Amino acid sequence: MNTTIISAGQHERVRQFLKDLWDYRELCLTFMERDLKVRYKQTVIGVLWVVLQPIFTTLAYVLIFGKIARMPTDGLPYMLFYFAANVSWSAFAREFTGCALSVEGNAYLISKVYFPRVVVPASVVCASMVDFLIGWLMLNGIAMWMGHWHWQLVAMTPLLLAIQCSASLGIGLVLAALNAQYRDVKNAVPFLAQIMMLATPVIYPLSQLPVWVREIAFINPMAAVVTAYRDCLTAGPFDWQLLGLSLFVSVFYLVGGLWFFRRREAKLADIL
Amino acid sequence: MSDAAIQISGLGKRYRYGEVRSANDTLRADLAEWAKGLFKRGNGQQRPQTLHAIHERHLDADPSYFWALRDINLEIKQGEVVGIIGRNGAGKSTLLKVLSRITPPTEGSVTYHGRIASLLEVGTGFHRELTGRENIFLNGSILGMKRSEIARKLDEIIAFAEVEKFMETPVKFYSSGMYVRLAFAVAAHLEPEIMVVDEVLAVGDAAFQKKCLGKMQDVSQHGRTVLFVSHNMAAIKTLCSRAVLLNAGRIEAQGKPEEVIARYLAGAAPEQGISLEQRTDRLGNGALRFTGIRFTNKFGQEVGEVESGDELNVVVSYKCKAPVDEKRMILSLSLWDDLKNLLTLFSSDEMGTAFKPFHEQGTVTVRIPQMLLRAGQYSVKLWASHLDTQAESVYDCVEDAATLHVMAGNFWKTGRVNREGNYSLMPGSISNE
Repeated sequence: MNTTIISAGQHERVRQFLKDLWDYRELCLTFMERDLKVRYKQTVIGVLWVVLQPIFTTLAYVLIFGKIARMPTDGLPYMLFYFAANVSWSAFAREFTGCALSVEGNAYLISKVYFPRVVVPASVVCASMVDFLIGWLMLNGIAMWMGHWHWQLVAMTPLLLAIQCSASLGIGLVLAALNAQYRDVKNAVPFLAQIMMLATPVIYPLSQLPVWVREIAFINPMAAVVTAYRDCLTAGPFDWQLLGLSLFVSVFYLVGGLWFFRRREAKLADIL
Repeated sequence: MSDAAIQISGLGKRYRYGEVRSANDTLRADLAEWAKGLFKRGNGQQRPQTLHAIHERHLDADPSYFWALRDINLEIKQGEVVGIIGRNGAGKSTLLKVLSRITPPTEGSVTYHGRIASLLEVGTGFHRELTGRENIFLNGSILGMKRSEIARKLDEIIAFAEVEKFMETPVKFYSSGMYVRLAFAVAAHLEPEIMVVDEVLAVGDAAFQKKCLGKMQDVSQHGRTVLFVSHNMAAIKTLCSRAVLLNAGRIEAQGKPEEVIARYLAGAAPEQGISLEQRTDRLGNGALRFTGIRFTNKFGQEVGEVESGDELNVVVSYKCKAPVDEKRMILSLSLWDDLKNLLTLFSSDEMGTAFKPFHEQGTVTVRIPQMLLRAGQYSVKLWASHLDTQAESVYDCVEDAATLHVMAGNFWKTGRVNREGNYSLMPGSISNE
């Protein structure tokens, strides 16, 4: 039989933490299922929203930034240029904002029952994968239809997804832990998401930025991700140096986020 | 290893009164702590213990911190069912929260063997929009069941809850009874080695309560260790092999349930604070003044609480400064709820009380042969006046002279505990032809 020791002022060991996380993996799925089910209850068109959202956002971008502002796209049609960026960026934004609010949103659970608290934000990222997958399939479809599809799109996705999820979960964990204590975070998050979008080459190509900015673009791993999706479609060469650095940075964010979250995890029930 | 399922040693939990500290303060404190952490790591062995100790001492002296639990030492053997009783704020729920790892202890430690399932409320995590079936899975996983385990027990759970027809209905359309039944059914099918339960039997209708009690008994007979908090003394008596009385965060007594409950009911003397005699928030000319109030049971023993259905005597002491005419005297006692609704009034004029002469000091006893109020807290108001109730003829009038704590009891003599709520019981029966 397992022996558990709860002791004052002691953090659980990393091994225990990982084991707990593994024991509660089903809970992560359950939360994910709950969030997905609840999201489309009592809606008329239900899951169709997942399809409509990226289409309308992209059309708006194409119209404003493409047709009116005449943004350069490094040779991609506007539709693809913006759709590729939207699918990954909106998944990232959904993940980190969702994570940030998730702990507070599940306060009623956290104060009543034990489970590794990381499960809550982690389930947000998992749930977001469903939306992402649908968007990604649409991207493939549109690329084929427009004759820009390339096998690299499929080959690169696991790597890009890993960068995206590590970064979003890492940032989301820090925000979630902070939001438990300082509700200011909740107000700052939508604003932060907007600023970050402008700082990420979503509406413009990375190549338009000054060189010194491009050199530090790895601190925002999504810059590399969004750009790489576009590079897949132009079959162009990848900026491997940027991708490698971004992967490293995103893993750093994830580890840092976990570390930060874990330090505050135990006290969450008292401060929420 | 010993046969102790749970070993609690020197457990303490400190909370801070009021709001979370101001943002500045915490941020600064957090940064300091972080810096300290770096320092700790850098010096290896040389941890800044002294600094920590100074910090601790400082917190102990700070009146804005208080200990919700302190010096709890308890060993619970495997298969034992332990009831935890105590007044509100005694630390019962905090103890359960620490045990179930929801909140960390400030000092001391707990060691336990096996899985703990905590049931601190009924239906934790139920989502209004989801159907009964979906909620069974959701709630079950939250309580630590595997999905395969839930799937296996699904039929049993549904049958236990008696909501077969509504499995595909969102629970927001459930009646509160159905909701509670479904929630408890899931919890009742947990199979942890240790179960921690907080006052969840107080809900649901009587028949369902009985079913739950039966299930709990089942559970304990299967060698499972159960720790449960309840205000329901009858349930504690029937289910537990041991009771622990908490008072102000410390263990005051433990042992046989009957003895500990008796101690709890007796020991909880009237509320502290200033005495009735010294109260200044009163009306009247003071010819007669109420100087004390206490509650006694049918044996004349002083009690702090009464169970519904039991006899209660309210003994009011008085002092007279001037002679009062006992033949033209009104003395009354009334009970009020939190919302200042008058619930009942004992008034000597309408009851035709023939008082004996009032001396310089003495007592008046109001006897209530059967407490017909349900579990809750009630405020006692005392009044004494001359029969012509003009303002200047009021001798004394004290609102909130005391708080009467009524506990859920065995009013119907059926062994089923009556529900709580600030409304009344009334003798009666139900039959059909």
